Amino acid sequence: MTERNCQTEFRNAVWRVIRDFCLTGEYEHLREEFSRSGKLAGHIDELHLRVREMRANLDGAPVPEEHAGDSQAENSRSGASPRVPSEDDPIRTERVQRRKKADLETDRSSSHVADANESGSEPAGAADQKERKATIQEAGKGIEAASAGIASDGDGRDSSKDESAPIAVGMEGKGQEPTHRVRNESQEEGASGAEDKLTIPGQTRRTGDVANQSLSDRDVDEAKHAAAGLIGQRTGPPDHAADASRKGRAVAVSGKSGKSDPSPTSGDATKRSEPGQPEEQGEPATGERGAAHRRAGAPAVVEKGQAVVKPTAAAVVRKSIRLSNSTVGKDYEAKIPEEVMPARDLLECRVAGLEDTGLEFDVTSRSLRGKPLKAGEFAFVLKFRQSTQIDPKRFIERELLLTVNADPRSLWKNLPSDSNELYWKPDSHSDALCKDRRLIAASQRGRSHANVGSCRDDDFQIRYVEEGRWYLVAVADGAGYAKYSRKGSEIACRVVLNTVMTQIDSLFNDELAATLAALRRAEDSSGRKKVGDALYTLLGGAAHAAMKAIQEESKTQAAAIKDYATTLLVVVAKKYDFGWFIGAFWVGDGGIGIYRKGKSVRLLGVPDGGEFAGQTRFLTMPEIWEAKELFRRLRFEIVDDFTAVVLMTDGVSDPKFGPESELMNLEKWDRLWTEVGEAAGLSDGSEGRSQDLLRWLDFWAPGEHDDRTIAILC
Amino acid sequence: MRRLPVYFLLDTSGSMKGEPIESVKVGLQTMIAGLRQDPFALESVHLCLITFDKEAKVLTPLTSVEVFQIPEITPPDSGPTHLGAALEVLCQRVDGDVRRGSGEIKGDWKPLLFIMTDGSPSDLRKYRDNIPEVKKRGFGEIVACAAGMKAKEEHLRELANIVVCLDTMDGPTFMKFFKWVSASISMGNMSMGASSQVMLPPPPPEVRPVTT
Repeated sequence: MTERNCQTEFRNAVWRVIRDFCLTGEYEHLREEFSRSGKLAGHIDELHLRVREMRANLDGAPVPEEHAGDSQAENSRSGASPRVPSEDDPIRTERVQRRKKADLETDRSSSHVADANESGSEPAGAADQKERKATIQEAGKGIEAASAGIASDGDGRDSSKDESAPIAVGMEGKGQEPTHRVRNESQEEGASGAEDKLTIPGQTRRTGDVANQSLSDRDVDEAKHAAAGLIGQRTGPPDHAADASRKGRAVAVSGKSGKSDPSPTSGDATKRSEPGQPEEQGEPATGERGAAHRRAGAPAVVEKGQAVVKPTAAAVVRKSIRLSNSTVGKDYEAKIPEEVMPARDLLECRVAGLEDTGLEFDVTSRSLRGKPLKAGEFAFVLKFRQSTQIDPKRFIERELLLTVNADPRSLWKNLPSDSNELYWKPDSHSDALCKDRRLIAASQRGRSHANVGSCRDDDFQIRYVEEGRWYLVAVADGAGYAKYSRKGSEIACRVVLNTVMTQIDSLFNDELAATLAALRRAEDSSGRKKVGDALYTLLGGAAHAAMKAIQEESKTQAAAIKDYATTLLVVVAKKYDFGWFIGAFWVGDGGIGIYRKGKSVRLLGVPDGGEFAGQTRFLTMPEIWEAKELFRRLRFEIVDDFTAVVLMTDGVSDPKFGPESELMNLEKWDRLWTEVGEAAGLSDGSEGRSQDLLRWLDFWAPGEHDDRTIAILC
Repeated sequence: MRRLPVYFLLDTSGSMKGEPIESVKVGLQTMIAGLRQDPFALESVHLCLITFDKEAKVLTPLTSVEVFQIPEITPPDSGPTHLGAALEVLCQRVDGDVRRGSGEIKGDWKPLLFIMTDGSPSDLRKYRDNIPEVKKRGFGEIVACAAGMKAKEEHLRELANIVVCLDTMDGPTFMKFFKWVSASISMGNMSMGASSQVMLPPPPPEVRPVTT
């Protein structure tokens, strides 16, 4: 055999070994093949041992986190060789392998191995597919484990510091990571030349091995490229994302993560390993979780030309570091973890691919900062050099993965509701009437409804009774879960005020007016009962009529009354010569308050809050119709004057007041009044602009996107 | 600000090792990506990931979708499926995490619970003991997923209002499941109400509801 032939054969053999290792884990037979060349037999044994070590090594660390802080991992970082079992431990290795097989056999999901990418594979029976597939994953681990022990840019000591920690940072990817890593590194390695020394876990190689001497550096590089290509081909086609990131450009994997749906088309490991979704796959590998210490190999120096192992070094490539998530338009800062890029001995560092992202890399603080401009998954390339490197001119590269959340505001859609739908109502509504005092109201569909094009559930009615000069207001909030609640709220407001209008003048007659006057002068508190009874008849009766009307309506649709569930807030107000009489009925959440600017607020009831959000009482619930319960929901006040009487649904009261106890907070009322007054022109005594009030209702409050309705007597 | 706490109990026993867990991770990733596209979810959904194998542990405490990152999930080679222990951990977390409304505090939305297992509880007694405890926690909905042929749905029915089956444990099926979960969470957001059940969207064909 000529030397040239020997080289070629050796190179081919190396490829086969790597391929087989990656695909099947069966390499025993290769020894036979190699033994035909006496010169190479020793090497294949060597390689075999390496491979077994890797596997044993891997198996010794099934739960990487457990090793995160242990002394072994620490040792490994300082260059010792911790978890490499002794080479003559075949029993352990065998056991490990057998266990793996057993695991695989219980793996019921394996029936979904697809052969789409297997064109270059060894012929193998269907039964082998399971194992091959899993072995690809194992191989990925193996390559990484091997790479952990191979420093490609420094001597043993420094490289272990440089490489072992960050390697583990991106260790997550199992079967898929090696794909683009291999490809990346093959280029990287090619650029850096063959002067790099290689390290192998657990052993120092002597110089003078036959094959080493016979191989030129060029051959070694070729072998690497070929091997890299082979693995790449096996695990998935090259991907523009991987390619682009290799060139040092940032790659927005998708502008919208919804479109970056990583759904594998067939779900097998091979397919999933396509590098199209490097972010998705490498996701959890954050430095902060101590991942940096995982599976750090133990390098020792090996002379150059260890071609047998060197191709696996190609798997080192760019380790990924996942940064904490950011949000469009929000200030962001993420420091590159010290274990990824130690500040000591740092000569230069930069991040490529930040153009048009709104982010920049601050060298002094070694952090990425700024306000992201665009949502999506991003990959940047961190490049740095350290004085301790063998070749300090060469950049070490790391991939920085970043998720940028969209600004929630930009995600809300405003889809019109379908006007053909049963019980449709306009998405917004406003109304105003101006008598001695102004009555102004607006109701706006919430973003949660607008986003899906469903109807507004809130409703309101405002009336003025000329004869008795009564101001009447009703506000209702249909339950979000009830399918016809938009009709429930509409009926409730309409019927309750219709009923009130027919009765109010007869109930609040001159006699009752005298009682109120006496109450006002605080001469006769027994009059309270009389007023309460009148209110019970008026408002309790009207609310009951509303409930009955809803019940009747539900029958027309063969629906349950709870499908029309709604809250109801009602106010009747009249100015007597002794002051304002204001009576109220309140079931559900939201709020009714009599507000005197800068002075006081009096609530006309208690909101029905529940243990969890959205829980409240509804007009349609039977339990509120007990006399005692109904009485509890009726309130009245006699006051000299007020700035405003305000009724609002929880879509307004929640964002503006927060917890129920805050409804008494005068400062918050002052703030609300300032906002509303300015927006709707109420402060200056003019007529008031209900359209502007409606626009004001569109205010932004995170997480508060319910329908909003407010009615103001002022 | 109202949060929607969503709890995930994930079986990480030995049988999940390999492709199933990798598929689950990809599925979770898709689910998160989906939730990030839903403005309501992005603002309100908080996720807690609890795994159970021979022990139950909180892999990710209750975290908003905005900052959530899929953690490392590594099933052991073999061992029991301690779903009962997981329920115990779950109750502790819910007690500590979920804000119940009072006059002073704004309550969270009713929490949601999703359970995925490919086997049956090894600690059946503890499992049964903890079922009433879980039910006391006021979950808006409890959905259990029996993944693969070995999963025992009858035990899950004792706990969950909705039990679905995945006949296979491959990537696409898990993907469908998690998309459905994502849609369910979004819809849960919308339909939360007082005395009513949360309304979930109909599951895709791969996710077969178990009829009781």
